Amino acid sequence: MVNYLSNSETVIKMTDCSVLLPLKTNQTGDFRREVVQSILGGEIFKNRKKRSYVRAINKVSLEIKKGERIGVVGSNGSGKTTFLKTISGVYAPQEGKIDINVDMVSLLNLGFGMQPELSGEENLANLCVQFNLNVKQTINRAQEILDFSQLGEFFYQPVKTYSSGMRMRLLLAVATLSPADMLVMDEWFSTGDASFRLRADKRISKHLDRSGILILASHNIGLLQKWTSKTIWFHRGEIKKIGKTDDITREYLEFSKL
Amino acid sequence: MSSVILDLKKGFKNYNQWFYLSYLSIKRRYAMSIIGPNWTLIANTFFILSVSFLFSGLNQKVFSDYFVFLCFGYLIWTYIIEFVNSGNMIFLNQKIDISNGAPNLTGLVLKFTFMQMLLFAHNLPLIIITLFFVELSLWGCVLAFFAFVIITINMFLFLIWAGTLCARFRDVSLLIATIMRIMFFLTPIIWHPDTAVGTLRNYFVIYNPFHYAISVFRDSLIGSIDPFNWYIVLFMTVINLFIALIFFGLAKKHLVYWVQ
Repeated sequence: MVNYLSNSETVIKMTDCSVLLPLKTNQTGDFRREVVQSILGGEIFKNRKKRSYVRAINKVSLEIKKGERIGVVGSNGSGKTTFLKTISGVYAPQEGKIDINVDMVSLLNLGFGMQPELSGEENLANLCVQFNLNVKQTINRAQEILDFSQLGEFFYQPVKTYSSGMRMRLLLAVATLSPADMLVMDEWFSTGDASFRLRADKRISKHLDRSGILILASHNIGLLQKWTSKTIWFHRGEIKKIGKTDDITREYLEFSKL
Repeated sequence: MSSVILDLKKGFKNYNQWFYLSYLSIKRRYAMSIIGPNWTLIANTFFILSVSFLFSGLNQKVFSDYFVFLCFGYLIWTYIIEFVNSGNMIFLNQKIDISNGAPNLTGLVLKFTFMQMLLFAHNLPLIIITLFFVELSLWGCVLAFFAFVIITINMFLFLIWAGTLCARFRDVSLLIATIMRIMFFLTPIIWHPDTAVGTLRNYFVIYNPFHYAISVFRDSLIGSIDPFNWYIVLFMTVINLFIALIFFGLAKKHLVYWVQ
């Protein structure tokens, strides 16, 4: 259930949220289920109709307030992306409820909003629709996008010729054209090189000038320590710990070494 | 249901953006092709001329009469069939955008609809040339235009409910493809509905929704308008609207899980 909050410091409130993702096969045997479950996060189960589901996040409760810069860590399959998609409103949780009162931009996938056969310039219109921007105004700001993304001649080439870093630069350049209250980014952001990250840092700070909420999922601990003050550690679909980024990332690294 | 209305309102509000995106989709589809979307016109002209030559001879009909009948019927059939065959996968084909927060599902359906309209517009030269073979009336042209609009509305609504149904049950898409393969022959496109009267074949005319959709467009241009066909098409539109709203209302929040 998704509700929208009235004006308050809390912009997102999750109460006992669980997201169940359907699995394509119903043939999951007990042994295979155990193996998958031990490697990945969530519990795999069958419902009354004998359909298989994975509990990607389980009974997650938390509040996100204005001005918070939150990092998300966890091993592969721990529920980070599902969490980001839930707070972005992509997944409506089947159990629990989520209240959202924020104007956000979510960058969850590098292929999002882009048609590979079209050039970066032509894809601007696609990206505008995805980010609720005006197409004409955005096309008029193509030079600004080009300057920030530094794609050069590649801007006029098909996106299928781009590296993942180049795609990310274009995506971020368009997504941050207009200010928003919250920016949600998945771990692919780490694909950018060092010089781009410096430019991105300035641009994102400017972009988040109103209430400045940033949610960043990454395996890059350095990036999290630089950009976030608070970190959520996901483990097997549940929140293992929330706290200061330095403390949580240190504990997470120690845990990962085991 | 309110989220469905909101989605529809948002989609129609930004119709110009979706129209531009449909143009880009056509550009992408025909990337590297010299003739591009004009292949639609070439392929249809070639097919209609060949079949007219063959079947007018076999059925001992006047070539021009049969050509006119086939041309209008076949062109509107190709328009419908593109929606039915390709459109039912509309949400599955957009799964990357949907599973990463596509803001508007109605917009995706509008984009596909505009794309098909633009592709159909490439047939206009053939339609205009064919109009020289009929006794043209302004009323007929106006009715044909309305027929095109109402068929488009029906197809838009079909995309919504068939798209959600096919996202949930993957076999439905294959079932539709199987049915549509034979529907071309069962629908009066290459044969005249009058030839079925008094035979078992007449059931394929009476109980065939495609027959009514094609007839309102074709007969308006040919000049043999039957109000009954219009009543049926309007009735189908109302039914289609209800089904689309119910399906979209029930399935909208689950769609993101189904397209994974």
